[in-house]
Amino acid sequence: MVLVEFGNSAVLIYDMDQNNEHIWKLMGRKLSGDATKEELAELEFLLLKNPDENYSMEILADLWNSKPELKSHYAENKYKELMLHLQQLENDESRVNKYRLGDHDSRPGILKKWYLLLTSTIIIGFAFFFLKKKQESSNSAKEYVTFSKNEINTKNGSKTNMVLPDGTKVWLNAGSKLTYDNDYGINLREVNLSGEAYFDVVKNRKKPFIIHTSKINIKVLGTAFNVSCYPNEKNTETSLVRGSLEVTMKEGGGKIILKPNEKLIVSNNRIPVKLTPDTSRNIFELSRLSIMPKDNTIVETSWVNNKLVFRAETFEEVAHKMERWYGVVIVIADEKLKSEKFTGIFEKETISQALNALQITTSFSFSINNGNILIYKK
Amino acid sequence: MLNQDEIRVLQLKIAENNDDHAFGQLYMSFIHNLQQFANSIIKNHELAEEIVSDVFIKIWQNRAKLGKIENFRLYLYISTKNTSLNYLSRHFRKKTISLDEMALNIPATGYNPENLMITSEAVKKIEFEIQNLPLRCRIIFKLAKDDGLKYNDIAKLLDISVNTIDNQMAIALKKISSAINFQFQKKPNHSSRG
Repeated sequence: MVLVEFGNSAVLIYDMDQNNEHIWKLMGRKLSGDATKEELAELEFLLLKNPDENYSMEILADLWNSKPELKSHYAENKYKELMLHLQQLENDESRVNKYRLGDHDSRPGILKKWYLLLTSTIIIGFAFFFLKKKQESSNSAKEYVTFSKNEINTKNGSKTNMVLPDGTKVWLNAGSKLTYDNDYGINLREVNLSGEAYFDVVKNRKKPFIIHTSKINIKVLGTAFNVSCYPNEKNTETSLVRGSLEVTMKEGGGKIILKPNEKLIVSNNRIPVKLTPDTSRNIFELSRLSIMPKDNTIVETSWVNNKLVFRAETFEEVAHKMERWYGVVIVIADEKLKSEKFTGIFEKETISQALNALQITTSFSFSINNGNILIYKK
Repeated sequence: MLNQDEIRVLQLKIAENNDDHAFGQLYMSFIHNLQQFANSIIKNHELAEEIVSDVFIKIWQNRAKLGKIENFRLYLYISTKNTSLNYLSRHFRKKTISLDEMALNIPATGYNPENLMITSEAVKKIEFEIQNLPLRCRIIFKLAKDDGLKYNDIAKLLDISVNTIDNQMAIALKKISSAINFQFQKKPNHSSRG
């Protein structure tokens, strides 16, 4: 039995064994910050009488205050994702509101200013608020999502890479556009591509990854490959590095399965109507990937590693590649020069260094004026 | 972890100034714990991520009214719980969840024995005890310790009495301290410390 005194008035009698539970309850309350003054005083007294528990309490307090280490990097990325998502939702929303209410900004900050200026806007403001509320209650965020598209663009002279929601990696070459719906990965994994991209697709047998280009559809389960489908180029090229993929022609619907190290070239020009089925063969061509003998660089995917590579390609083709790579405009003012063939790798060279290098094997002159390059015969 | 006042300041900044930086601070400080909490109900990490995003999307969309919420920490947990239950009913046709079905794991804390002045062996034993607390005991202990919820908040969130929380916390603390005292069976010289 123990006598407990509070000030000089209250006297309590404790049976330590019976009240053993009590000390732990008080400890819990102290740790969580829920204890009252009286409870804290009571605990202090009980701990004085129980040195073992007193030591435990010290350690427990230390434990309580050591919080798990958080991955702040993850949180930051998640926050960026969330803000992009919100931006998209707000864009969609303001589009809807504009349609309903005319040209009216939906941001509350601006709303406030309008309140002060025009009484008529107050009415619109209320109407807007009401509509927004109604809209929010009838549409969940999810439903908005299915309407919005993600679009990634690269200008000539710049490249980018990204990770899609399922972890699939995409490198987007210069002058290209990749779009995908916001419900990407929920039922299907579909993207649209114009230009050139290298994909490293995360395996998922249930949800094939499908790329739509203007000429072909490509279906894969999980693999790495390059697609080049610039609208101003002659051909759409699909180059498979590993795994397997299935290409469907949009015209004619023929299917081709590619194996590693194979490249499928499909003509971007319309097939002339007069072609008979047996000549339709000519619209595509299956070949091997081009490997540079010097260092085994795969020509088709070299741009991913910041290399501009061409192998036995015409000056015209090389010029197109250089236009995108350097973000310039190149005009070849000589028909014969256009069909000259080049092989080479550029990495850090400037445009004029690159052109100087080409001059070693073929004789031509060039002038550079504000990103406009004229190539002419000497 | 943000304290009550810090949360209040962020709340007002978001409501009055559309401050997305404040919104980010709030989001980043709660994302881990809310995801763990959602995961204890939905038991699917990706869905849990989605749920927490949904909760914060709603908060941003209704930010003008944010100043009116008094207990914002509790509000976040209740929103997460309700959104999780919505998912459950939508995907699994299950409308409620009992406390004993909620598996809230406590992430390893990486306690530094030097800071705590106990042996690393004891730290391992403590971690083990925490990870192996009975289910409801573990949820309550975690929400109080790692998530900084008050007893009243936990009672409202889990629909239990404060009395239950008192009892469960007592069980948890007793178990952990038995692990703390375990070291003295091998190291009787503990009386030498301060």
